[in-house]
Amino acid sequence: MPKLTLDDLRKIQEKSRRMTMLREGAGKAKITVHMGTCGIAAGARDIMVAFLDEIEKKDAKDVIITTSGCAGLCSREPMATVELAGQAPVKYVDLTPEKARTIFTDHVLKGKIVMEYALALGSERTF
Amino acid sequence: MKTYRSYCMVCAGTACVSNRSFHIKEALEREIEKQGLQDEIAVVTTGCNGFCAVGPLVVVHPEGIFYQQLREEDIPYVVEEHFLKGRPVKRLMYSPPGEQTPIPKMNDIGFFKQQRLIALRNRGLIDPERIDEYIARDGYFGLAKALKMKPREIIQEIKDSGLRGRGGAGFLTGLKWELTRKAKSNGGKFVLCNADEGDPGAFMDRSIVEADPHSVIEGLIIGAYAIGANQGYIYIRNEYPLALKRLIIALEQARNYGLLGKDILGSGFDFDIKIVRGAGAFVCGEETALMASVEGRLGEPRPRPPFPTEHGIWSKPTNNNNVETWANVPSIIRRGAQWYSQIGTETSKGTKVFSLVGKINNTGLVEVPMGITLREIIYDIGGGIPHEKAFKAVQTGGPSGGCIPAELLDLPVDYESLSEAGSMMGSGGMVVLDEDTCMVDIARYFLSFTQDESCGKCTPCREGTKMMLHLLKKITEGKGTEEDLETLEQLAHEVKETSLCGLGKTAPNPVLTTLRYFRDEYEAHIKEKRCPAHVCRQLNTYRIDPDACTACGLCRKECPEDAISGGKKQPHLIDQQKCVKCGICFDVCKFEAVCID
Amino acid sequence: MISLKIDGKLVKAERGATILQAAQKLGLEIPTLCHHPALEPYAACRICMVEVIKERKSELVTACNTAVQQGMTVWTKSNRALAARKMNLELLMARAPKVKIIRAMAAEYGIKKIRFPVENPEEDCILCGLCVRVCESVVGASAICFANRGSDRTWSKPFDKASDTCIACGVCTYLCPTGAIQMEAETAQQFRERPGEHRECRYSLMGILPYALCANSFRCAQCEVDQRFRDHMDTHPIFVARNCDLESVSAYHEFLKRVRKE
Ligand SMILES: Cc1cc2nc3c(=O)[nH]c(=O)nc-3n(C[C@H](O)[C@H](O)[C@H](O)COP(=O)(O)O)c2cc1C
Ligand code: SF4
Ligand code: SF4
Ligand code: SF4
Ligand code: FES
Ligand code: FES
Repeated sequence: MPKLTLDDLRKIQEKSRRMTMLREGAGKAKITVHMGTCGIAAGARDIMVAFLDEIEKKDAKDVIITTSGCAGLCSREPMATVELAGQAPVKYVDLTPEKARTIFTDHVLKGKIVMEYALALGSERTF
Repeated sequence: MKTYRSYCMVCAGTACVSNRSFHIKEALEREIEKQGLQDEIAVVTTGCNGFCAVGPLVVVHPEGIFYQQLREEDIPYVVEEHFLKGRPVKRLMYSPPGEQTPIPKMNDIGFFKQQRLIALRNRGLIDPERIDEYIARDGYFGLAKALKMKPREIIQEIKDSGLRGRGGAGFLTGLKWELTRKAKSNGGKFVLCNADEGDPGAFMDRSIVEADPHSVIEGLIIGAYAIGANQGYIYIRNEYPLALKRLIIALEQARNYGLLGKDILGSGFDFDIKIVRGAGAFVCGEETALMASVEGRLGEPRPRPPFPTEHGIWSKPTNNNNVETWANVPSIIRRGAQWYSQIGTETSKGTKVFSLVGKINNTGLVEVPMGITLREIIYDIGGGIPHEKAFKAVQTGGPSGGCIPAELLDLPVDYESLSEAGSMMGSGGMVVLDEDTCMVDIARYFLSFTQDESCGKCTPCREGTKMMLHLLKKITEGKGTEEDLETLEQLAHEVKETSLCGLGKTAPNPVLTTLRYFRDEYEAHIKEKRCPAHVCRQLNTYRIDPDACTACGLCRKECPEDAISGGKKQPHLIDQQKCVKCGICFDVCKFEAVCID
Repeated sequence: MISLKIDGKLVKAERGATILQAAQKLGLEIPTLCHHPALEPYAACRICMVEVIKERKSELVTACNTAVQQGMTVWTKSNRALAARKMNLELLMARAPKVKIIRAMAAEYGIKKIRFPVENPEEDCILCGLCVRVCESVVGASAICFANRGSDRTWSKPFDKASDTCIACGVCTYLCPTGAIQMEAETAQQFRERPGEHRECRYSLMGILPYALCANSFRCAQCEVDQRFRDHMDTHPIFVARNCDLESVSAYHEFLKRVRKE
């Protein structure tokens, strides 16, 4: 009996794929959590953890999460921007971990913008 | 598998490790933990990224931010600013020489932008000590595909791809495989990977093994299956401890997965690989010497034919390829000959890894498509010549390659063009020379290396290179005659024609090419007793410029012959009668007052 | 059989035969220094260079180890081949200027002036490797070996100090083209006087040998050394060497001719 079959090889690949895809910078969706001092104070870390948890649970392979500095709209933190490949970025404000989970399932995975939490389409337009 | 939002790839190639990259790694882990980010950000060690000159370096994914020349003190700031607050740290990024604005992303840096990675496709992207990461990037799927093909089809695929040996001579790899497959044997065949890499300053093969050892192993298994060999050897230089260590780990992991051993992936094919450590002599890289050394005999070349494809290790048919050649194989099988043969030129397909050293801004390791011009490599990727000096020549192919002059900067880099120019592809060394180089002296320098490495078996190489060196020394010391020049040229020609192995056949190249392109410099040394680049000290006349001299007295103190006189506030003077032209005064003067006529 | 043309003459040779063998069949002389029919080709002296034309490409090869190929054209005295030989002879002259066979060959090739410095005018070994190889592959004693690399290469002399493995057969002396390995009568005697049980060597006729020196513990009837001499050289060198004057070059050639199988 061979130790490893082609199927086993595929399984190993599946399992490790997300890791290397991130390194290649290839992703269908990009979530940016704003992590200025104000954002962190307002609970941006919890938002981040919620997104990471969703990725793991849903086994989403091509979602990139990054952080950015203060977006200049400190009163509405925590905030995050979701950008699907080929589409304009959408900024979400006043987030909670639950809202983050909804945004992940509806927008990131299914492509439906969650209008009620969204600030504006396009990142810089409101200010 | 755990999900991280970001990966911090710490370069752990030999150069970065000696620049303390493991300390950087520890500092990163410490700070990440301090900030409570250990579940979000992973730290991974990789093989060499090729840009060793600016190491130690760290690349942060998914953004691809490139940090260079890091010190441990920088790490707390990076972790807080970049990883916590999302503000990449500009001052630790790379800026091209002479420019102020840093370039944040790795792939926007000129050095990386023009590269095309096949042999090094996993460099910086995976931890070479983890086979799963190799598999994640399609590793061993080439093998899986190959095992479902007929050996004949694999060989045809390699032939169609146009892959040629990357170790020196550029022999068609598919054809070599076919010859070994067809050779009759009364007891097995072997595949061999030549990782001896004796060229000084070259580290292509080391870097491939360090960054992606499995690519070489996978290539060897595919080759062995196609040829009908059940045993492989990797002959690796003993001076490469890190590469050796990673190779041993990789072999162990492959064995544990059953990718080496019996019945690989259920195909019924058995194969394993042994490591042989090289003795260190340059000539051991020559394949017949290499095979003698594998057998435990004196590493000395023997005449070919018979070729190793028929009469190799233990007199059995043996297919020897270079590390880089083997590393190309998995991608070719996985993506097809069609894909591979679109890259490169008519006769030279695919990419080639070069090590760029010498008078060039971005020294390092690059993989580029064949057919790219020398100008693109030297200026676009290499960032040009430092200190705004003029480019003079580039020595390609290692110490036994040739010097290609500035007129030929637009030469496409492929096997044929390089050898028509009197040089060769070799294993891919490129030494860039600027206007301050004396071409006679540089020929002497390269020849002294090969002369020293000659095994001494055959007359022309043993005696001939010694005499060539003697003549070159004579010329650089200003004692050469026109007859010497003629003798040198004739001798160089005969050594090239009559030597037994590749070492002697190529050793005269630096002399022959400098004679071809820079004959005027030889003539200046001989007829005018002048070294145009002021390198050959015996031909220089040192003089002190009274206007620039500050009478500091340093040169007077340092001169071993007491040839310099002068007092306080009095411009100094060199007594030409006493001067032995050691050039110490020139080296020590802080005011550039010592000039050379 | 393979047919080829050497110096314009058609010749047939066995598959696997060398150019040198084919040329000898035609009575054409190609000079050699490191070749001996009893030994594997070594191709190190590079004196036997000839020009080969195949598929309109011309190439210099060594005749002693290059196999004949169908339709090959060989020129043993083309300008290119002669220039190559001449240069290598000049280099050997600079190495070992007093050696007779080199001087004779150099004279034959019209070399009048040595353009290279002579480092050691007393040097007499040209590193052809005949002694090392014959001692390893025919005698089986491996009593001589090369030391150092490159231009520092030398050979270890078996007679300098008591060698453990030398059986004092003298074949190295007999094959050495330059006389560098000399086995004086006294040296041989010294070897034979080593402590141990002495007996007469009956097969290879090496005289009185101490027990320690006999490779075969005096089981003369199955002497392997003797068998190897017979297989490879048709005879023991002692027979030939006895009647020859090693000093003269022509004698050396005679010498070789007599022991060569063909
Ligand atoms: C003096 C000398 C040194 C060599 N050193 C190396 C070496 O370090 N690595 C290597 O792969 N080939 C080296 N070669 C070339 C090998 O003999 C051989 O051609 C090569 O390994 C074949 O592999 P390839 O067909 O994949 O290029 C050397 C050749 C000579 C003459
Ligand atoms: S005398 Fe015989 S055994 Fe001794 S070194 Fe010479 S060949 Fe070898
Ligand atoms: S001693 Fe004689 S036989 Fe031995 S290598 Fe020197 S020249 Fe050749
Ligand atoms: S065994 Fe052979 S070598 Fe020994 S004495 Fe008898 S014949 Fe001589
Ligand atoms: S070792 Fe880090 S870039 Fe080469
Ligand atoms: S006789 Fe052919 S190389 Fe010496």
